[in-house]
Amino acid sequence: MITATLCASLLFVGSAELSAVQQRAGVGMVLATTGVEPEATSLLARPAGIKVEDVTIAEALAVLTQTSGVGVAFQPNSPAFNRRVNCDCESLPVARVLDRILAGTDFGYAEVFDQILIIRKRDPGPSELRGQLATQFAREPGEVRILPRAVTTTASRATLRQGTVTGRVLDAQTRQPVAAAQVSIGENLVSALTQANGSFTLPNVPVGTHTLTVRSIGYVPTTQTVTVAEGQTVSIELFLNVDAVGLEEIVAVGYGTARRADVTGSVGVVRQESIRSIPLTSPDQALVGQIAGVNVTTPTGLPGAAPQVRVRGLGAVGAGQQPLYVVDGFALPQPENEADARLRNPLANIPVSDIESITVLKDASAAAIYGSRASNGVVIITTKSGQAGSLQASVTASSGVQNDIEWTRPRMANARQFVTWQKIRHQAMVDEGLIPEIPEPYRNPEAYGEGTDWYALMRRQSYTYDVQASVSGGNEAVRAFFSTGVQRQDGVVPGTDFTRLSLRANVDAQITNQLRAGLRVGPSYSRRNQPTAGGEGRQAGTGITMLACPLGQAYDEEGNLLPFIDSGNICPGVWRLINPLYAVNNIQDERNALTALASGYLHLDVTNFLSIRTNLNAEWSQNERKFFQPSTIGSNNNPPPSIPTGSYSSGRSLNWLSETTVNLATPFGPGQLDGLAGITFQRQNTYSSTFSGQFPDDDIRTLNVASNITGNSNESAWSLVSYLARANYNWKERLVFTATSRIDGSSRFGARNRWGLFPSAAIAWYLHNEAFMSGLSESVPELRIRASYGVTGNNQIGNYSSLSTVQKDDYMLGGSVVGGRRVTTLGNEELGWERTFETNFAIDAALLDQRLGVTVELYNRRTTDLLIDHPLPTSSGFGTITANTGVVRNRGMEIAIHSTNLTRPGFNWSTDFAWSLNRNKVLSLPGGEPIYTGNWGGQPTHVTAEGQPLGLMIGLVHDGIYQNEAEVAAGPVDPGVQPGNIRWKDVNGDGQITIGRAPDGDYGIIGNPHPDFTFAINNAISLGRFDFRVNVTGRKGGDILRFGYYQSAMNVEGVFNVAAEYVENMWISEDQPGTMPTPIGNREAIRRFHTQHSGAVADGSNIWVRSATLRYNVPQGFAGLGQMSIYLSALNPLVFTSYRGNPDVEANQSAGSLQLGVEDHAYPIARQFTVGVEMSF
Amino acid sequence: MRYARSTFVAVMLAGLQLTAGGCEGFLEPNPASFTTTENYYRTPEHFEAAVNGAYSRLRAFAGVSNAAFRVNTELRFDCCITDPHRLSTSPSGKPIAEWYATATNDFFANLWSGAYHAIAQTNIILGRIGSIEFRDETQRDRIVGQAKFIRALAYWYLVQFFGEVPLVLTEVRTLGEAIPDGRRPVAEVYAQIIDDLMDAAEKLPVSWAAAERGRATRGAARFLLGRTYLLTQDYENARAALEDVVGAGGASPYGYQLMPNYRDVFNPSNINSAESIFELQFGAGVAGQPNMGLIGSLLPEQSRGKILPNAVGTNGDQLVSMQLVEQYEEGDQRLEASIFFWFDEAADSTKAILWKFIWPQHINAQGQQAGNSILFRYADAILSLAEAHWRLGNSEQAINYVNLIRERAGLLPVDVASVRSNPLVAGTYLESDHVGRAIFNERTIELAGEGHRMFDLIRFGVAYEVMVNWSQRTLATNPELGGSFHIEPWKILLPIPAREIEASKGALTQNPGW
Repeated sequence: MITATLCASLLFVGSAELSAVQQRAGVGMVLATTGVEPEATSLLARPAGIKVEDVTIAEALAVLTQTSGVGVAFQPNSPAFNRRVNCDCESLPVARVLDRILAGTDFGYAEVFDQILIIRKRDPGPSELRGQLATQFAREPGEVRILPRAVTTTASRATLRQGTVTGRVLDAQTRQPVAAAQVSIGENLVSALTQANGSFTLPNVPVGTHTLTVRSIGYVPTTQTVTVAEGQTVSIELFLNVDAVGLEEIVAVGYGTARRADVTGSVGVVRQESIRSIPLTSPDQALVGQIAGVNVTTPTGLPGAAPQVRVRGLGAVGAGQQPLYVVDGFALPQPENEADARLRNPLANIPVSDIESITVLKDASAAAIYGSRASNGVVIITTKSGQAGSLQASVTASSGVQNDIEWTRPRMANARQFVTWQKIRHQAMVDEGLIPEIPEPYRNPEAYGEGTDWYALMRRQSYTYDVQASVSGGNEAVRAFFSTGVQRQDGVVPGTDFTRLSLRANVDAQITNQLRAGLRVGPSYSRRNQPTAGGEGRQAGTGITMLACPLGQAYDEEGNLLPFIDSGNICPGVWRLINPLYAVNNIQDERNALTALASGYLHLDVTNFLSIRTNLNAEWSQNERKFFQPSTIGSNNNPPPSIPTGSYSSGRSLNWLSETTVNLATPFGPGQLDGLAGITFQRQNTYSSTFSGQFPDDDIRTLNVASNITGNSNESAWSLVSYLARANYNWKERLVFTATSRIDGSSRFGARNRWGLFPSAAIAWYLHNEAFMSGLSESVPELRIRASYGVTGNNQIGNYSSLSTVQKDDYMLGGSVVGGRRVTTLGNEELGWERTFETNFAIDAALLDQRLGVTVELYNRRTTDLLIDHPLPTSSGFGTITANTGVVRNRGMEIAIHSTNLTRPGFNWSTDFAWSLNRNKVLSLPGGEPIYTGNWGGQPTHVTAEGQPLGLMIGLVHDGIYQNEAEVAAGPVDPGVQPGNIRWKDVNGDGQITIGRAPDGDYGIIGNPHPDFTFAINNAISLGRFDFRVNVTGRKGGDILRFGYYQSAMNVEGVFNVAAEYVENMWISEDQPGTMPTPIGNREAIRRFHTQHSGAVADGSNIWVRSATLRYNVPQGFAGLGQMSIYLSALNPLVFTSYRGNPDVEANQSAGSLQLGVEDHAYPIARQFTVGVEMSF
Repeated sequence: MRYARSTFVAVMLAGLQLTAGGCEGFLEPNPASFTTTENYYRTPEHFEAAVNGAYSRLRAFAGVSNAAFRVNTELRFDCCITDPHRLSTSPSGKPIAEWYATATNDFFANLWSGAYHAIAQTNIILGRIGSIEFRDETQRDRIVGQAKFIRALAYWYLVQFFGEVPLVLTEVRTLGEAIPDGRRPVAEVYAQIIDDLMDAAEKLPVSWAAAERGRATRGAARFLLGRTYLLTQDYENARAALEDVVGAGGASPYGYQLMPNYRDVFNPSNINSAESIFELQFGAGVAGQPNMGLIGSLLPEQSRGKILPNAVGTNGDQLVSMQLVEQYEEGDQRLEASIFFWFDEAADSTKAILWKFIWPQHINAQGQQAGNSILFRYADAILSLAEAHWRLGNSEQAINYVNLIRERAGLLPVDVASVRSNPLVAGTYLESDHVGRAIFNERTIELAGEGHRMFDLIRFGVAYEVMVNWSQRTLATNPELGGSFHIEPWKILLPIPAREIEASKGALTQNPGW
């Protein structure tokens, strides 16, 4: 009944002016069962010459192959093929015959590689990225019936002398089976499609030597010669290389998927294959060195911490810079600011092995569909979904060992060097008559050896493991993917670790022919131990190890850890500090988080060209932190016992998103029109509380025994309403146009500027499909140019920045607290979006018979109405107001090259190369005034000024070392300076040296944190059963301000230990000069050496082997297993840089893009070696 | 089946319309954890809370409990000195204490913004209270009186720190209104202060109920008025106002009395005592309330755990200078009450600690000391009255008031003749008028370390002279301090914070020299 109605409407729609969309080589964007006028070249236009009566559809198709000579493939298990049909169609072309035969079923057809596929009509869901073919045919092994067109014509000859060819088709790089590839011999003499495990059988192959051709969507066609003997079975393995440009691959775009050929914007994709087996803890790490223009860095080695993802430079200044993450269609809540981003990694809860693909929308035209949140780019993550067919189970297990990288360790003075240096300092004081004699411990350096290496003490070899298991399966009606896993990573600093348990269930169901539904649930639980002393900062282990006296002891005589480095008498004048190793073992600081992402959808095909989809997504997260510091922990110069303190914090948030979209896909005029319109609502509510108190003793660590308990709780919320629309028009595969528009309304903005419009437009021109290019089709098989323009926004600011807030401000009267209130912030009713206007030009070309794919992109991003905390004269009573002012421009170029270097039987080598350059410039700032940020000794560390890149480093400028009094006298006035001190440049030319910024001070620009360019090279080599992958990234330029190192290791006032390089290179006299200044003389003059100056700036250029993986694929059937491989993987095996430390270091994310490249006692990055096994059954 | 499908579509469309209709409401930010200026300042209770908030802002800014205030009023001058053996450095305090700070120093900005934060709160109260219904007009008057007192006090400090300052007297609601008109002449600022104080004195009560003690009183307003007239050199009015506060013959109509024992003035047990005119209220160990927080700065770093086991954060930021110690007369009980000498073995030197603020028995387990920060007390009023009389040429009366203070300190009274023939302390300043010098010296000893030094040095016109002498001496005895102390006459008035000049888009100009 329903189907009849539906068909009637389809016939009504179908008419002669609709064109031949099915002729595209790609499959299944649209499958019409109705009137098509195929072009003469098409198989579909061939005369069918069929006349059947009361036969099943399967039988009719078999007749059709005989009468028309066209190969047809279908899955005969569907009851629909048993339906009986009549067709008196001798005069009709194949397409019309198929329309008739298939009328009333939910099957359509498509022409693919000289064959016609009968497949179910369905729009591709987000998981069906390999194209509909793969999911349609691959899931039911053995049930694809191939009706080669030559069945009848060759049968009579072939029956005489035949053999069989069997084998498997595999991805050359990943060794994963390629399903639904077409394998054919000769001119389609015999052909077949591969099954889910990549295997195929070609029966009845005539004896002789043939050329066997394999084709599959997204791969370069491959040929191989086979010789068939009578009655014999020849078995071969074939490897396919990814198509250089990949125009046919299906990529995720906002609110759906699209064939890459239809994508006009700038989009980068990472597939599971390229990141497989690398020991990663979260999906954003998978982006490292994969996509040109997507710069992913690991500023910290803290277990479970978020890497930093930056798409095409930095536009935002005051607002956050994180891209928008979209997981299975769910736009995850963005952090309110960069500090929040570092603490909360939205993706830490998704195991990498659950990921099918990651797509990054780079330019404004691609991202504009996400409107107000898209100006930092959009990262779309698609998790795996179930495949119909027999159950497939897989288990991956790996275990690794990690160590910190020696090169990144600060080399501190050992005991002998320390005493040598202290002796020199104290001798000078004796000479000046300040002290009577050198303290006893510093008199004889030769008596000392290495002493305690505090830094080495705070490092350990640590272990990791990761076990993930998944099951996938289902039938035509229901498909499911389940996974579970546990991952643990112990940090290289004692006391730090990260553990995650995860579950996932992705279920899709075809309820009726028109209605589908699905549910994706991915709860995960993580625990992180990160005691302060094991974390980052000067007061943490990383800092203390640079400060502590090497003569101090970590252990007592019995080998017990001492709580305090009581160096008062051992190292006179040196600070007494907590023993960091004792502290990490005795301070409890545990953070637990339970996060559940859930999304459900209903999808209704209203007609064959119109569908409605509604999603409901929710992220529920709950976290808690338990902290306890026992009485045995002291503080600087303050030995224990101290009062035990503790706290308990918890928070929860619910973010929900409701989306309804209407999708249109229809031939229109001479081309194909795809459209989308929708409305979404999103809201987040957050609740948090913290309680802390002081404890009577160390026995009970919960607050029920504490006194002086203070606490607070907080609530906040934001909401977003959006209307969105997109139209994509493909005109004869020659021109593709895309236009999108989104209107967003956000609670975060002022009443007057609450709504924003974000439009975009783009065009792509397929030159290779133009007649004038036909002569070049051999050398340049694919060539397109793209251009786009779009507007995106940024709303990563606090929830209530537009409001003038009145907060609690209590006072005391008569010995009791009285309630007080005050206005704390000045609201801004005009507050609106930060907007990025971006133009993008690109060329995609496939060269050398598809062996070389090149994409070159040029972009110009102009970010205006920057959300900046605009400084106010405090005479207003307020320090800042969040306002939209200022303009930043990012211009850049990206080159991505995919090269299939070598393809030989059993040996493949391909290389991906990505290179990107970004130039950042501030075009205007509020009031034209420079913005100074950072604090080093009461002075700013960075300046952001018009006409310059964001956040340049400023400080005193080195001008050599004064060798003698004459040079001092000739230098600028600098009180207290003597030979051996540094000669600073008189930058402002006033004849004297003043610490501070211009115009009063002598700070000059001493560093630029922005790289000149970055690149990434990924090599994949397969040889026999071995695969090898290596991922290398690099960067030229990008200065690092060694804030932590100079504050701690270069503090030469004698109160801390000092760097070995200082003692080895310090200036003693004009005859014994050095590169480091003297430690004696005026304290102010000495002190400047560990404040901000050009010597504290290092070049962060590096070449970094991020990962390398060697895999052995065990022959199939080994020990009864399906597929199995074992691998050895290395993370961060090699770093080449002149900078001693992690070149990705980024201490001050809270200051955002105005304070870049600051090293401040960061947690070291680790080198990890992992052994693992992957099995599937 | 068709029914199911159309129902699905209908429900979905209906849902869309419903939600779309409620869009503006959906987007309305309704913060749960704070109120906004839109929905606050509606009831008398709101204004009571707002005036408490203004006191809290005043507390954050004024008095020696604020490091920026203490460094600028005391440590910068001659009575206090940073421990030369201090291991850590104070990035903001040190340049100011050693006179090489620039206008970007955040301790200048702290004073400026701190005062204006308090002013902004009072401007909102004064601007909005008129349209609110009060059942009890006295309640309104008292709120207005307190707000005006707080505003006047904030400007009183501002004008003495910075000279000409912008006069912001109305609520700032927008970005445009936040830019000040420019700096107003000092006389205009004083006129505004006097205006506010006169109104405050009229509206404030003489005293408050026990639970309200700590609020501004009529006496406090009158006292500040008198001190303001001293600054405007209107000595007749100064005398009148201060005489009102002090009372004839030392019997104050407001009930002010000198505590019998000097040290007891600062005892945390005696908060809001009869000697106190106005003090900022702190709450050591009270949840959510700050404590005085001064102890750590007063104790030498190396003394940690040695003098006071409980004290935390000892850093020797502010010790007493030997120059101050030498000014105490023999037998002055205030020496023992104010200063504690401690021998620092590590540095092989004796450290003078400002002990008047330290009360070991009132330091709790967390190292916090109870007690308030007294801004003005009766002894100050008496000496101010003496100053007014001196300026008016009534030397006899002036010395009589000085003797009230000497008497409590256990010293013999002096008379004009003996002061003239026998100057109390050696030195060159104020040599021409020994009566003025006696008053000045009495203030130096009596109010040592209490946050008056900068203002006294300027009011008596001796700041540059005193500081040049002092720095030469300090450098000679403490070579470790380095070659700082670039004392210049123009540096006595603080610079307008650089940030303010930049943010004001040219509306503010810098003080000369800076």
